[in-house]
Amino acid sequence: MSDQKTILIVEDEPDVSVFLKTLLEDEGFSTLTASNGREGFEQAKAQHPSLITLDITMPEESGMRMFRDLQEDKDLAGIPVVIITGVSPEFKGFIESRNQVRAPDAYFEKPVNRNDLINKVKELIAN
Amino acid sequence: MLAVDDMMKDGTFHLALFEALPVSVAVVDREWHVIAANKAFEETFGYWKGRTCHEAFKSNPARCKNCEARAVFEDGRIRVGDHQGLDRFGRACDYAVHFAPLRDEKGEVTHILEVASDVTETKRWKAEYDRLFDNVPCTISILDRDLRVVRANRSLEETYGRAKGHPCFKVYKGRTTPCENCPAMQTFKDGLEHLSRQSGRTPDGEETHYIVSTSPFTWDSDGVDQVIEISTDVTQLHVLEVELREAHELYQSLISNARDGILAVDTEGSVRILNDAAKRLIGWDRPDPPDPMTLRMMLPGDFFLPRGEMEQRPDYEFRIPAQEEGEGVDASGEIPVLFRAIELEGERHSLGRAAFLQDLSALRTLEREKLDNERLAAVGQTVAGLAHTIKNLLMGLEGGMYMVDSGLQRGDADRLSQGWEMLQRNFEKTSSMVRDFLSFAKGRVPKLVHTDPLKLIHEVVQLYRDTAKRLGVTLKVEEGKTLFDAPLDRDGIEACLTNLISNAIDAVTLEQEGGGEVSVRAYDDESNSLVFEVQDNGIGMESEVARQVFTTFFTTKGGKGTGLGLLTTRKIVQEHGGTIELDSEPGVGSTFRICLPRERLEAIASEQAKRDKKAETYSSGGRT
Repeated sequence: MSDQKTILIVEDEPDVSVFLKTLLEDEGFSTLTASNGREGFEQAKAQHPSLITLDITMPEESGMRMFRDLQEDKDLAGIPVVIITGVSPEFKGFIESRNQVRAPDAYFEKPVNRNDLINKVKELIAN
Repeated sequence: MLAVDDMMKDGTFHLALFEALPVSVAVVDREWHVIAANKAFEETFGYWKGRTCHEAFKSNPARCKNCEARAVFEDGRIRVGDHQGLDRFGRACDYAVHFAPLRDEKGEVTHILEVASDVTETKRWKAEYDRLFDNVPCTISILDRDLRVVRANRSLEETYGRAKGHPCFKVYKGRTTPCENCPAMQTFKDGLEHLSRQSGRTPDGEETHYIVSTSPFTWDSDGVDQVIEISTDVTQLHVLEVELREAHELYQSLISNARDGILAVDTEGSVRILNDAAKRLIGWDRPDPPDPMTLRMMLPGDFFLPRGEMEQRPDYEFRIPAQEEGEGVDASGEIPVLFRAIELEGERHSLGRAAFLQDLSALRTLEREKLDNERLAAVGQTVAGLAHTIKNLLMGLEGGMYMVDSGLQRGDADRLSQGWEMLQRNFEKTSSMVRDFLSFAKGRVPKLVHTDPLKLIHEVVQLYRDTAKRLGVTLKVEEGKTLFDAPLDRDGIEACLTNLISNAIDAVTLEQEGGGEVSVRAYDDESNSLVFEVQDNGIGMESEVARQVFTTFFTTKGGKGTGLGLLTTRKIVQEHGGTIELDSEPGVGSTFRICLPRERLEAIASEQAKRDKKAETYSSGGRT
């Protein structure tokens, strides 16, 4: 598949990262992984993925910071971002109401429903 | 009528009388020459023989303009006149002169007898009296029986306007009828002096206050004829009195309504002020204040120290038995009272001393509630952090199941075994977390006992000596000043220090070989908190990471930790009413600092004592 879409998975929990990678590859996407925000941003800059899944609570640099950096970068601002996090549901309201950043394209709370996640990812990439 | 010739002939008696008269007498002829004068005349006016009367009386060469003597020569009628002359020393003198005609046998007026009485003194007195009358700093009036002003001094007319002829009640107060209890009327009636306080009004409408005294001035056959009324203005005094009374009422009201107890004694130790709050706090329920001896038994002894020594005493806290079970009543069933005493210094000498008593029970309740709230918040944060960890574990388990399922379906053995490992790993994590959490959540009530902080440090460090040596880490205790014992939960603080020291050893061995240093110390800071510090020169943390270490299940040790260590540490610290903080810099190292305010440790210990006492009561069958 020459026009295979690439998805960047930013996740610090290795098992979760492996799960998402396997799941998405089974759906025909190619994947990249990063274990913190800084590494994730560098990967996005270099590889220009079609979509990014992002955890919020990570060491080194938080997903929140990376999300903001993405918005501020002209080349990357258009990439859809799906938040996948273990942080409490109130955080969804918080991040969607910030003035500095746009709302994320989708928000999933761990543990995610596989089908919902796949459908959302496909929908966002199709657009 | 006395003839000149007779008088001359008559011999010694009349002459002696003439000479002895205490008034100056001179006989003047028609040419105004003094032909005879008595001794008093000569003593007053000097030599007279051969001089005219105007020369003799006034050293005046010309005749007086309004000479009464001339008129007497003309019509023979007696006249009286006031004259001013010069005495034999040249001093001005006033005298009243009586001019009487002296006749010869034919009845012709041939001479005039001039009798001069010296009124110099009288005149001076009158002038002095008039000046005094007008200028004394009080208003004076003389009243007749109808209470009409016969005479008024200048001060009166300046204040109340024209007074003469008007009744005094009209003048002083603008009234149309006499005042009740009129002191002047009483004086008219009984002839005695009377004094009273009155308020009046000036023509400009200004209120005046004065003290009036009335006394009889003149009498006639019917009794007192006139009354002299002297009024001293006390308006200023009155204003001050009113202000003083208002100020007094204000203070009285502030003192009696104050929530704090206020008590003051004079230099003799007698109670001058004791408000209701103070009565309650010293447990005094009688209306009269306690006498000095009783008071001495009720208040802290410092209050009775000699003058000057008391100032150095800090606030003093004492306890009184509570009258009833209440919120703030402490472990021993007593109310904590803050006692602060001050010297009352007047301008020249001591006025006594005062004490302020503050009921601390409400404050203590608030402090306790604050402590409880902090503990609840810690639990809340722990639960939130726990949820985060559980979600990640669930996701890991789900991931493992997916890998196993899909691996089976595809016959992919690698994926199958990878999924199986994921499941195993996450099950292990789950059980280890549950174990840690159970120990964290056991809700063990901290048991505070007096502990030597330095000794505790040494004990914990001893546990890590071998490990540190094996890993090439320098582990040392920095000895500072001797510290007082503090009520601590030994097991709890030991767990905290164990956790921090083990973290520090990890931090210095994680990414470097050798040169690792971990220092442990305890000291009292300037705000009277007992501080434990564990410092390392390890990898350090970014501020982003440092911020999260106490609030979430956080681990940078990969699969090794559950992230509960620092949460447990924080929970124990908070149960001690303390805080834990972290200074960290990447590449330089981290310092974890546990601060335990000693006051709070004591409060928690006292609360624990109260609880223990209750438990004891229950266990002994509820008998109290």
